[in-house]
Amino acid sequence: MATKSKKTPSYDLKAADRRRNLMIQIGLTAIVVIFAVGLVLYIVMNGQTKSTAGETKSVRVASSKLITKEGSSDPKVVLSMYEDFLCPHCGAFEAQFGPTIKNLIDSGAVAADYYMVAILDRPQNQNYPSRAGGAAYCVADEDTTPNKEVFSRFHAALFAQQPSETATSYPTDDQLIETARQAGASGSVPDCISSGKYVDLSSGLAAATGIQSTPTVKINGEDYQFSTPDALVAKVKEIVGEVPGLTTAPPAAIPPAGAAPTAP
Amino acid sequence: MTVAATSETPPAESPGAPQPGRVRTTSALWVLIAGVVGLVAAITLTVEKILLLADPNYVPSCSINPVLSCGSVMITPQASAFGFPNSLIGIVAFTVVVVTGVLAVAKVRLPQWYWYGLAAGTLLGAVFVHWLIFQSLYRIGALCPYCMVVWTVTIPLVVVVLSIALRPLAGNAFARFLYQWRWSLVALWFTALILMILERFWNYWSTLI
Repeated sequence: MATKSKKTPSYDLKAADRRRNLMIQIGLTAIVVIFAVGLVLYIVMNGQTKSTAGETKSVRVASSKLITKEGSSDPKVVLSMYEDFLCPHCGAFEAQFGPTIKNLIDSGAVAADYYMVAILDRPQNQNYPSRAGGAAYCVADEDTTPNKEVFSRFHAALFAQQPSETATSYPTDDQLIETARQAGASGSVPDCISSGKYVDLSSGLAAATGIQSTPTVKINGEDYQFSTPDALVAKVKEIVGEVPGLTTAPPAAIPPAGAAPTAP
Repeated sequence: MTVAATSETPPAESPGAPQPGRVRTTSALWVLIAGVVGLVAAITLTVEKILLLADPNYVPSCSINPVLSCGSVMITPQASAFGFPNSLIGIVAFTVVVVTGVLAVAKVRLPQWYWYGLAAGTLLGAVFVHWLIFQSLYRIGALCPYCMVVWTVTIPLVVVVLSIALRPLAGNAFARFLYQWRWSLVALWFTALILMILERFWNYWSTLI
């Protein structure tokens, strides 16, 4: 608005008029803006709570030697891991802790619950995280081996072959099916992967479980800040006591391709 | 607003349109500042692009997280819509805007046809920017901070330049209405864009809270 006034009283009157008009204009604009923001936030947050109410599902991997709470079949230690198959930190976590976690499971010290969350879904990665996560649920569904060996192999293979976050192409569903086949999956797994049965579950799982970052590790439901495999073993031993055959495994037992998941 | 002006001067058609050919200082400053900010952003983008070409492993300074990342945006075909990096257009175009801003601030009277030309140019720029906004949000799925700086200055710039260039329409009631409400319209426009970004990447933003 022009401000070349303050010459004569008549101009001052006009200036007051103009100021009032300006206030009305700002006020109306603010009302419309606040209304629009409120409406959109309401819609978005509602969509959010819908997926919060979504199903949660984990894959439990445990051995027959599992140490249970006295007088029940519940495991003494449940190690929950929330991982996104595309997240580089999850790849690094698997490379560093994977062998030790396998030892923990095999010795019966822990039961491992895997949550295949997908927080890095993007159009440019063709939603690889939720497709890979969904595929892992498909493999676990059909896995009848006692220790979920097929699932474990598929899980390890996906991290070993982890694509970069900025890659230009990502594994297709057919390639996921092939990886599953190599891990030993059969039956209805290909159908399950290509129909995307668990893709929505995986993409909504982070919200449903309240996970804010990956990898998240919980021990008996409590957040655990992992540092080294030794510290993890020590923490588990605090709860279950000494376990025969339980040692820390050297990291990077996974081939070098997976050992450097952050390399672009 | 159209109170009959009872002063000695001829009735002012519209508060923002004084003598023809003369540009108000605030408008001139707007043009200058928008030009400088846009030019800096375009140069930064070009430099980052060159660094990225020289070293494919280079992580641009604006790649903050999966959503705010110019690296993944800069390698897309949309970032070179005409076969060369878009930021080169930005360097040329914003230089013209800066020069115009300097001339306007210095109260150099520019012919009306010059403002028509600049209005046409900034209008094309705004159309291009909105195409890029759409591509960035719904096709690429990432935001590039420096590009957003360009979006942010282009939208007010087109409004300011249009209101300078279209002063001959000051007698038109509809044009005057648009002129009076132009900043409200800009505010609503920005609100819509911000809400679109919020909605589009809500899954990611909500993990940060």
